[in-house]
Amino acid sequence: MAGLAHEIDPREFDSPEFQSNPFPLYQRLRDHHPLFRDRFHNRWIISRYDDVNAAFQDNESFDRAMYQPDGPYVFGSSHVFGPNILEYGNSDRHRWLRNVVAGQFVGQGLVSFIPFVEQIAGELVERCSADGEVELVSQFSNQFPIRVISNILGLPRADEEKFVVWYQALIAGLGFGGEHLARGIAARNEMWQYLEPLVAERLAHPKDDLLSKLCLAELDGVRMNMDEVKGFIALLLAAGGDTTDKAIANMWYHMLYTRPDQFEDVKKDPELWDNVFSEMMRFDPVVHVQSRFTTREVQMHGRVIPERAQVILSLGAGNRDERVFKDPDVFDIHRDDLHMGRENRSARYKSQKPGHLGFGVGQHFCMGYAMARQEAVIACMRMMEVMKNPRPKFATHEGITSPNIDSGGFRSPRELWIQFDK
Amino acid sequence: MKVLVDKERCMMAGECCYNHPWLFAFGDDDYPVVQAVEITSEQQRKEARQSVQVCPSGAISVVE
Repeated sequence: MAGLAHEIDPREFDSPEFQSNPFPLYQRLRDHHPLFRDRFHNRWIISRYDDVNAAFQDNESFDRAMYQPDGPYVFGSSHVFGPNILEYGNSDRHRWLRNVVAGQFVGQGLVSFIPFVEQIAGELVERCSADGEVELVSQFSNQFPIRVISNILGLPRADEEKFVVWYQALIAGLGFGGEHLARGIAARNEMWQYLEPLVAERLAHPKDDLLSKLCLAELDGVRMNMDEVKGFIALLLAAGGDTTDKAIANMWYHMLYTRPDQFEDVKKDPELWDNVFSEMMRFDPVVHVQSRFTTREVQMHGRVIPERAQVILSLGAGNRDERVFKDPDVFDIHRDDLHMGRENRSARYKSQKPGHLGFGVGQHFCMGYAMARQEAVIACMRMMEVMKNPRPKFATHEGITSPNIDSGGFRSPRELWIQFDK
Repeated sequence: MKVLVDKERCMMAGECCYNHPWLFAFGDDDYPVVQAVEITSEQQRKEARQSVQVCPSGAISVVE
């Protein structure tokens, strides 16, 4: 019977235990099934840091989208957000569409937008700091990134509230399904109706904003069609809103409940919020899994993954790999075996230290990584300036959960009450 | 048109190599190397200028 103790029943991935605490199962995967064939869900799972890192960088073997051997990419999106550019996989079209906006979120365009991020953070902190307590998720983090994105797009500031409402319906639809899904789709349709005249207006009279860039960008003289523009915007809202939103809540959760001792260090030196972000992205990032499809047979751990198989890159498991990080299950903002500070798409660092896998690596590395870090750190610093002596309202907390591992497993606290001195 | 990379300023972000693989590749030392290609079409010029914009450390420059 030896070995049975380490057997994994694939239904464990759908259990409430896994959704609240996936880490023991991650450890069994890494130690005993570094390449796990999940026949129940018809997928393979890899979980060690080096394997996940290598797969992210191996575009020859792994694609973000399922490809047809002799045809275009499969567009199968029944997704609440509609078709989006990630379905273009590793193709040149994906790369081109990303390049339309990349400069805005990564390079020089980001720098010029920072003062505006500061302003929006300041306004929102002001609004939710009157009572000496705040429910961080609904009153702040849920609203902040979406306001930033709608401003980057160049939408009227007066309509920001509309976007917050649509966004919350969309996210609920994505996370919980059922009746939430119907409301999410209704919100999406409303949002698209709202956007259509704005797109027409930008086509006729371009402005210096992201919406104009999306409308006017050309590849070999051809522009994105209306569906692509709309899908792109929905993706920006989802990918850029939901994740940063939850990242901010996770950072505060760990400071308030996991490491109140290290929170004292952050109070003395707010620059350390940068380290909190890095360690949060390693220890328990918002997104734990990325999906890939093999484009050819792949040899790994003495076995062969067939072509066109789904492979789950479990970055949440890779981030806890003791082969790379010392005491991986300890949240430590001072750890010296993790690259702290800004992430690189290349996963290579001058410091020679390994980075976290929380944004992925390579071709499909999170496009908004630099923006997300800036937003999160700015938001936390602003809150600390206004909300003095922040502390948890309740002594205990149910912890970080994920609504549904198949929705990407976005992990965050449902609620987070903070008290402070005015 | 000529594209230049300043290794001193480069922080190895990798944006250039992944966004414009026809123009940049990782060298043996993990820093980007500008590929020996002629930049002729308008699309190529546009992408070369985009690579300047997307570089987080401002290490890329273009000589028109």
